[in-house]
Amino acid sequence: MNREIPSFLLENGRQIPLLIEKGQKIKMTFIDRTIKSTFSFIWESILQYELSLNRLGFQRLSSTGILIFFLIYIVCINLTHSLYGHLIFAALIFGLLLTTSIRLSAVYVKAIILSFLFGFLVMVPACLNIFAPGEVVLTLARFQSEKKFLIYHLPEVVGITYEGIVLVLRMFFKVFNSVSLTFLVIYSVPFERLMKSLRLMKVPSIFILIITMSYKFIYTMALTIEEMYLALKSRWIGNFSQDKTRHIIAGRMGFLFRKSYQRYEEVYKAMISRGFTGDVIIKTNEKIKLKEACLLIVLIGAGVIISILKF
Amino acid sequence: MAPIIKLESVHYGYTSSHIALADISFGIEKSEIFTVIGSNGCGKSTLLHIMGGLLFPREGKMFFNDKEVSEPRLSDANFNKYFRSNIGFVFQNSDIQLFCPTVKDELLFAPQQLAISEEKAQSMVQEVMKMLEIEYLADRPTYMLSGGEKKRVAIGSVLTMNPEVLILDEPTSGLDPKTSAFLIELLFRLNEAGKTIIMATHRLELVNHFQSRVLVLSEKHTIEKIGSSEEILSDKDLLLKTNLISEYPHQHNGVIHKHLTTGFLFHKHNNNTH
Repeated sequence: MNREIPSFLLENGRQIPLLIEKGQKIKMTFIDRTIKSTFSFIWESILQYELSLNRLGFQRLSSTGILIFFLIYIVCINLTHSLYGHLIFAALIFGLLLTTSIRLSAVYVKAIILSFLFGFLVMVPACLNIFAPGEVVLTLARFQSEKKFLIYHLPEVVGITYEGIVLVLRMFFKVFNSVSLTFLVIYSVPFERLMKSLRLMKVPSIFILIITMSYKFIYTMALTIEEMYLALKSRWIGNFSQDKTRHIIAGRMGFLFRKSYQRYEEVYKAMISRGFTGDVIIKTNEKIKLKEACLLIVLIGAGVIISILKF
Repeated sequence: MAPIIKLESVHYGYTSSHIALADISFGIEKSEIFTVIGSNGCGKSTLLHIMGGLLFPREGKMFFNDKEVSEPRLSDANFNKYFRSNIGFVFQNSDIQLFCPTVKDELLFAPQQLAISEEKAQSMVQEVMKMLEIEYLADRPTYMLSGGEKKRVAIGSVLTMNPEVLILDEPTSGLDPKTSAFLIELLFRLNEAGKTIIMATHRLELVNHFQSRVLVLSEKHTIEKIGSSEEILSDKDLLLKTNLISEYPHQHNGVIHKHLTTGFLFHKHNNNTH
């Protein structure tokens, strides 16, 4: 080799020693955590794919059948006003989940967290008699007289009403059932099959193609983000200032943008080279058979009846 | 002498059914050249990532200089500095490894973090750039480099850290023959200086060049065999079983025929037939 190797590289035994005392704790910055959670998308996708391969019970329905069931049930759940109706829907979804190979924890952990945040927490004030007039079951505050402020009316006794509790629970179950139904569907059918069945429902091909490509794009980008994160971690020594972290992350986002642009051009060229002229033909054999149609009619009929019945 | 890197019953899986490594145990001596070979998707990169403290085993343990490397341990600043500065990782995809604005910033990144004086850091960077013949790229943004240049900068960015162990994932992939030859020679020289070289590849000629100790990963993500390069490269059944060699159709004197070939191994012709 003509080129000379730097002397510092050839010196042996000048490596950084390990100090005996414990050092400062390295904190994971918010941005660092965000990057880490981005690539959890990949494992979610793999999980979804693997779960949907074991076709048991509800998963044995065609993707078109599952999609129709999903769309009708989402509407039914959101039109249901009765708390008992929501409880019956919850039991029905639970029953359907039991027929599949899906782990209950995979669905219910996420469903409970999401419905707690978006169905319970945001609705908690609605259980007060300020918003839901009715019989106060728990008094929270007592004033000497009623108070009025602009459009707001503060009664003498502020408390939680029975009607308010029912309202909050109804909202909680609405979100809970919608989320658990969504997970039941996405863990039952691989994403690609679900997209193909949209074609049978007369959704324009170009729209399906865009959704499919976006999904693949996010998947590929998530893989790149994972690799980037590991590369950064391999040279990340000690704690970084927030400024330095932001600087690096901004650079990486720039890199991702360039990479996305390059990939978009490559994909377009690949499509052109395979004869793409603007029309997309997507074929599917996900047609509903008679036996399946009967089962769907029973399930959908039950859903419609639950949503219109007043318990 | 205790191995510099030791793995004990390491298991790693991305999901319960997506196993990347199963029951991996071995040790690497200081100043050794160690090669991990296996077919695509057998877990080579995952194994390197575990040795580099980038992923952590689901089961089992990894030790560096007899000290266990784990996620909580690496959150201690002293241990983190000790481990990260002694292990240099060169990724297969150089693109993702370069995150600083310019080539010079990239090479200065490690010395600055290790609190090396500005003057010394600058001189180290100059020396490394000279050796890698990338001085003319010093102020160029890293995204404006060719594949070979990116690889050189990625190697340079790790060398300015002067690590005791150098881990390289597919070191010669995407490099032209001249750059590959330069890299191989550089790795020999660094090894002579006492550095431990660990690499993953599926190119058997690289194993032959380095005459290193070799770990063969099976398609079931377990260790198929560990041995010397002579021992591994002469074991045709093992290479066939692990999908490292295969029958290729190719043409000689107008005759298309098939036989085992990796480009140089078991590639013999009978002149009477073709």
